[in-house]
Amino acid sequence: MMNKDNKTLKLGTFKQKMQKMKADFKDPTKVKVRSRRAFMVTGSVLRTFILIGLIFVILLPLFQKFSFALRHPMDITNPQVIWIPETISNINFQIAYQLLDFGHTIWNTLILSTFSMIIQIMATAVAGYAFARLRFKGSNIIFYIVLFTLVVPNETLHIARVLYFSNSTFLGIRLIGNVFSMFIMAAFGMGIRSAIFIYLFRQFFKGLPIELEESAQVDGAGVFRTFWSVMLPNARGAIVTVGLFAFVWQWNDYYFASLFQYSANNFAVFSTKLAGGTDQLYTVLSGWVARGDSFFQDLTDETVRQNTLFYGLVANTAALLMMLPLLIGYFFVQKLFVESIERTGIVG
Amino acid sequence: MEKTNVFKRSFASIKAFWGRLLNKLSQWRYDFMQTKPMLFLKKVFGYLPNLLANKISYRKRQALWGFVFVLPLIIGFIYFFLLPFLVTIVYSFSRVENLGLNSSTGEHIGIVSEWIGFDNFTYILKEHSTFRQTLTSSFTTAFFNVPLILIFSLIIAVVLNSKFKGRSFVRAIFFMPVIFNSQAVDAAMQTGAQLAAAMEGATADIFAQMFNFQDFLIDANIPVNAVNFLGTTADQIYDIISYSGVQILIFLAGIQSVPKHLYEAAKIEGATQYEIFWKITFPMVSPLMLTAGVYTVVDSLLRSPLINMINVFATAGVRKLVNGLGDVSYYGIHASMSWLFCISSIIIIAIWLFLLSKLVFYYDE
Repeated sequence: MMNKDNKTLKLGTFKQKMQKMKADFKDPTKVKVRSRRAFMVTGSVLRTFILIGLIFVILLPLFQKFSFALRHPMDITNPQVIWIPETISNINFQIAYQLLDFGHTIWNTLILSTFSMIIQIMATAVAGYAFARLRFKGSNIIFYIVLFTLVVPNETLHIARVLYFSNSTFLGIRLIGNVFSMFIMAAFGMGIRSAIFIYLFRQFFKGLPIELEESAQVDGAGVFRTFWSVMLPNARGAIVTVGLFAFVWQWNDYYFASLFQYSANNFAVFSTKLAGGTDQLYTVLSGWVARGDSFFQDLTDETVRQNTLFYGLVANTAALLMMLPLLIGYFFVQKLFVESIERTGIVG
Repeated sequence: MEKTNVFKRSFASIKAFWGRLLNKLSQWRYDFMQTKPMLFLKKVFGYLPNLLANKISYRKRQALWGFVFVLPLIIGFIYFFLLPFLVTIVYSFSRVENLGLNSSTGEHIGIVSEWIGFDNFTYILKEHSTFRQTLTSSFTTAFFNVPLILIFSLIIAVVLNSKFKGRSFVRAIFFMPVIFNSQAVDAAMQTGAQLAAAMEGATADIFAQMFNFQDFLIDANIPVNAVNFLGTTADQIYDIISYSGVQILIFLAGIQSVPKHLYEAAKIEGATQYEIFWKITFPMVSPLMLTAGVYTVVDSLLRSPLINMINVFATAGVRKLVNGLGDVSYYGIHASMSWLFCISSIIIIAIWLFLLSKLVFYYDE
């Protein structure tokens, strides 16, 4: 009896629960809430999967470069080695280090990139501010001209520039074979993709509230002072973005390095060293072998030295060595850069 | 003591070092400005603008300063861009002869150009074996890259803008390809082309053995063309990511400049994320489509095989100049190729600007 009562009671509560659940399913607000929660969960799961996949795709070549760089030259033809080398060695790094003349080259590249970055920032910020806020005759036309320089790539003007620069001087400065010619180009707004930087600064300054300038003007500041003490400190986000890109593109630049031939002036940079070095790798290596350099003791096998894959290995390691300072630097600047994105505030 | 604080402490010491250095520098600057000649200069330069300020209105001074700010740009444009550009146009219509170097003095004698009309163009379009093919393939790639990259970078920008754990890490990773893209590195990798092929072989093996997606799609009766398109797009995923860094940056900044009250209102009204994207984010970001589109066309043309071909002619021509061998054709052909390149890229940009301008929505407050 007792048992049956209990059962009916249980059944009754179960029925009640079922009814409650049915009501829940039909309740429009709860349905909305539930569907939104499901949407969000699936969205975040999907997002995680996509991001992990893309990060894998981005990092894969880097890992590959590292894996190849750490491989001993004897391992090249070993079919068992795909990712983790059988014998880990730094011999590739030693060869690439000597090939690039790393200690000397890194200083040259660092100096070139740093100064070029500073000059680019100054020149493009000034021009961007002029286009954004200072109304003068023909400013629109000049801005379109700037955009036009973006559309015409440097490579198409190469021969004309070489002929032109080798036969004339700019204000008495010979441009070919001179390191300062890069700084001159940057200062006159024709550096590496200066047009994009000018565009970025213009959009950024357009996005800043005009009240800032007006209050400075009321306080009696001149135009230059307004720019220098009010607008420029507020443009930190744009400066960081432009500075990073200017530095990196200068570091990686090959076109201007070959156009101005700094290396002729004993000012070798990574890009020319890398491009030239891998071409003449065989002669360089043979020279070292003849000289009896110590780290060649491992490479006794002549077939390894003549294997084209070995040259690929050294070229790969040299490329990695060129990228490594940027990579290390990027991890320090990365936080600043990512923060600056929040504040770049480009407005179309 | 604590291991975790090692980094923090080293950072703090670096910061302190910078702070001391900057303090020293500002002290030096101050001392330098207090010397007598600098004080005099300061007086003069402080006096002149004040004199001007009393005579000229602020508007006019603004215009004057604007012109001063842009002046280096104009000089640079004329000397470094316009003159070589005009020379290129003239060369494209002429037969250029390099007289080479004077054998006794070693000086460059000069260059003679002779007007030959459209002969260079007919040569590259009719007789050159690969130019026409490269031109069309480069430009179709650049043309179809635009929607692909715009959509991809917009999606990634939206994803990177949403809040989740480790967002700043993901952002930092996503801008890495922009940084490590380098012509020089590419060149170095080209000399090790066999190595790259071996690498690709190794990775392709792993994935191909696991699951061949293209075969699966073809088995599912999806048209072969569509499968090929999907396959090439999937193969290019690294290229697409590395092409779209700046565009992601543009869109991300655009999304962040959308007024917050619009999103708040939408949330109160109960809009889903999907609706918010299509009704708010997309229209508000659409003006940036134009900028990003133009940049995409320019950027993907810069990495096309056509530029490599132009480069080959350029280096060949320059070598002739240095060696002083008077060969005729290189300059003219290089110039006419460049000229065709520019015209076609402007046409493609114009087409995309026209197409994208239909999507654009301008919001006035």
